[in-house]
Amino acid sequence: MSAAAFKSSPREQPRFATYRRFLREPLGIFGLVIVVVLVLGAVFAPYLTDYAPNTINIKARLASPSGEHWLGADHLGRDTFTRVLYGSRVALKVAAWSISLALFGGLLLGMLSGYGPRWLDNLLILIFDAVRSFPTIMFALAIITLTGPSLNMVILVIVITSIPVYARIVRAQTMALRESESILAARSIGTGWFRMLYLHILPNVIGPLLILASMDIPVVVTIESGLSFLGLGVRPPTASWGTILADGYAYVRNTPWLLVAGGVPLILITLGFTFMGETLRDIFDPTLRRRDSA
Amino acid sequence: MPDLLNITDLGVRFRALAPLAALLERAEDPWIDAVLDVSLRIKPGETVALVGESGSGKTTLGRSIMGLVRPQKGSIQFEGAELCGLSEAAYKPIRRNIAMMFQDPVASLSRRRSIQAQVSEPYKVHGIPTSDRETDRLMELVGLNSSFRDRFPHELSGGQARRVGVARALTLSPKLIIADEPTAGLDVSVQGEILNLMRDLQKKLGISYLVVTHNLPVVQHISDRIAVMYLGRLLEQGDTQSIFRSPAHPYTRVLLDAVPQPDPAKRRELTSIEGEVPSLRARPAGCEFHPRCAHRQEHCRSEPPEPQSLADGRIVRCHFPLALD
Amino acid sequence: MESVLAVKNLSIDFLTPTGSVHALRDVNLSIAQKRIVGIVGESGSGKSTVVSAVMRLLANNASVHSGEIEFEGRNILAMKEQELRALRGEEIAMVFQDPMTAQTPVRSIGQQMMDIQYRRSLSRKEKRENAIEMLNRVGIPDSMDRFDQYPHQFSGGMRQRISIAMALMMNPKLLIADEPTTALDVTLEAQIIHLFRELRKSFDGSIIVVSHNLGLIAELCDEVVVMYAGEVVERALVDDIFYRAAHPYTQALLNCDPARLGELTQELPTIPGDVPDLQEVPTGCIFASRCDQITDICTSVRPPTVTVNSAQDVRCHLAANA
Repeated sequence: MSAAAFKSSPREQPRFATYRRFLREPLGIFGLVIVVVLVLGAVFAPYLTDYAPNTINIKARLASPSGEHWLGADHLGRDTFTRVLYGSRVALKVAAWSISLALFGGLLLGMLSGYGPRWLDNLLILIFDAVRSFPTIMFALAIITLTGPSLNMVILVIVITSIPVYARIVRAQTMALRESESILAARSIGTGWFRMLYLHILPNVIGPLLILASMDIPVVVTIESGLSFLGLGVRPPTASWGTILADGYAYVRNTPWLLVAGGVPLILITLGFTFMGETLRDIFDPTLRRRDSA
Repeated sequence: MPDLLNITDLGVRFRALAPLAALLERAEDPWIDAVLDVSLRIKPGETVALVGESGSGKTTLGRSIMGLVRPQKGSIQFEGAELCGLSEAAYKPIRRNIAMMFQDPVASLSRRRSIQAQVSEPYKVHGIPTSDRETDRLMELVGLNSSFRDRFPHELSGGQARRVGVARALTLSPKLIIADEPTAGLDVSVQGEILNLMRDLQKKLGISYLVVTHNLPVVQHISDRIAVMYLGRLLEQGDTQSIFRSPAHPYTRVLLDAVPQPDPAKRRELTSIEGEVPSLRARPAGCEFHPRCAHRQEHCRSEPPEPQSLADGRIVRCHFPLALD
Repeated sequence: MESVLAVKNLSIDFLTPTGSVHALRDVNLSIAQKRIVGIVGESGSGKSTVVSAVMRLLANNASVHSGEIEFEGRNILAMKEQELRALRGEEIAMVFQDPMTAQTPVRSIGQQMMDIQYRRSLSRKEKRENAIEMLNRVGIPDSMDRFDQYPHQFSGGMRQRISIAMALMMNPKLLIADEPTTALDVTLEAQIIHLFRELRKSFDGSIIVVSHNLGLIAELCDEVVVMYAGEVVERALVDDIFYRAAHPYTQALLNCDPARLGELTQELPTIPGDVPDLQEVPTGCIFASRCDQITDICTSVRPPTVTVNSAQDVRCHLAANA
């Protein structure tokens, strides 16, 4: 089967081919749907519910799901469904900020490490390894004990511990790319390091990184929920899936619905992003491509 | 006429073992010499073919002229200016005058950028304003019409991608183009297209070429002079026709004889070479070709030969060069 | 005498998202006993597809449109996987282009040479001796000492010799060499050519050499099959091909080979144009768009295969009208 026997379809830019391939994978579409629903739920939260998340209403204390309270109410009578929606805002806020900052930092440091002089690489690797030697949760606990619980601290911790992971991946890709003919060709016309990184290296390393980042979102959200569960994340009375879970844990004998309400979104967000991310990865990874679609 | 390029006693070495590994393996010399004592000149408007087999160092030599690899010894003078030791920034203006065509034309192009963007890239890198018309002119010069402007590398055939490589090399009107295996991967029926193109451009623009290749039959038809490399050294260099007619170095003779002839009446038994190219880490003593040479003598085992000039002007590195016809 | 291999009217399509690529169309060739046949063609000629079809190693999206491949009278295309496995390695063996990936990296060369003999009920000692003898025959020095070494400890040229040793080990009836020297330097190529000539003296089977290198074909082959864009355009004895080629493509191809060019030329000859798109096979002769001897009928009617002499046939209107 020779390449010359196939004329590739005209004008098919690499990008569009990806979208079309994605749409052929049912799992990927399923994941995408879940993610879209969650995001829309967070964005349009005020329109989807009449309640405010922190309004106390003792009369409805620990109510079961009903027409008035779709997922019931918690120990202070606050509508659970509303709190879940507003909790998703917290989750997504944490995810958005921490992942994008980590991406930015990881890309920058990874490319510099992979393309720059040895001493810089050695120094950065040293720093990365030092940071990564702490388990993330322990690191978070340590910092938050010093500074007190807050959402911004959670974001900061996640960013600091994620950058080394992302940077290492970018570094590996950059180092592999550095020896390729296209980079050599660019060097031969006199391309400087900045242009090289921006135009030649970045577009080729960002793909796998974005996939990794999308699979990292559920991890980040779970970390936030975990810290909030322990009371080290968002401060009460703010709704977060973690605080809902904490309440659910305390009041499990009275109603299981708080646990369900806090846990199910976490499961869904993990499934959603993981399916999406794996589908994207399968598309981008040529070694997994089946022969009949080559 | 003054030389365009003058290489003297060039040496390029690579580290084969990292310092710790070298210590552990007790290796005496962790370096390998990819290019050793190479002296070569190229005049304006001339085509010199650099031939050799795998491990000969020809690609490394080409890259060191471009500054992609830094030599440890020797000098490279381009239009009189010394290139060795220049910083990356100082090399940049030189790169307007020396361009390179890469072996794999599709791989040397960025996957995600249009042909147009890549042909005009040299302008942008050097801060020279350019226009679409300029790009079109370049593409036309290499025989590609303007419809190729918005295509992507993976949409081109091998021959078309090579033409793009030529166009990009021509962008800043270089004086010297280093062509690394310009015919690799091309069918015989289309090889001529690229080579004819290169020759036309040479006539029109006075470009010099250093063609790095292992495709011997083609060399005879495209080059004025030929330089034969083995284990990083130049064994023979001189006028192409003279060398093809009557090689002086036994290795050159072996190389030329080894090419399979597309003529059943010319079948012959090649028995004059044994073994394989030795590893660069285990260089033979004396003349490095002696273990495989059918004409070797006692002297060859111990004394490395110095380059000597023969009657017709060629330079040969051999104690007992073959008689010229 | 029954031919060892007979490909009859073979047509193969490849199914792609954008349509069917008609990679082989009505291909006929036959290999007689103890002959070395070369299949010459450039990119897109289909030569590799033909041999992949013989070994039934085509890609998943290949579909045999029509035709048969008969190995000693048995139709390979109708065989089940079990029968094929009995055939491969034992009766039909193949040497591939890239020596660096041909052997498995995790077993020693000796073990792999012994593995091939699994169908024979021989003792380990006997298998080992057979293997060492074969390694000697292909010119591997110190074969006893190097028996337990791994592929990565051998150079490219050695590994190609080992590939040949493995292929000939079981004395197959047919050896297929797909671009056996393309990845090798010219001095190694010469050594492999020499090896093939030596081995031929003791090898009873037939050999197919697939290559785009006319020199290799001239050095080794008794007969030549010339393919272009999925069709066989000419078949002849090697002398007839090189001195009395009947098809314009063969003539043009020989013309372009720089090793054949007599005196210095200013312009190197080429064949202008491109191989046609095999998704939309043009009517008439497949070479018409690039032929310099084209006549009126060539673009409308597909040329028949014409017998020029006892061993030469060509698919061309010029020969039909002569």
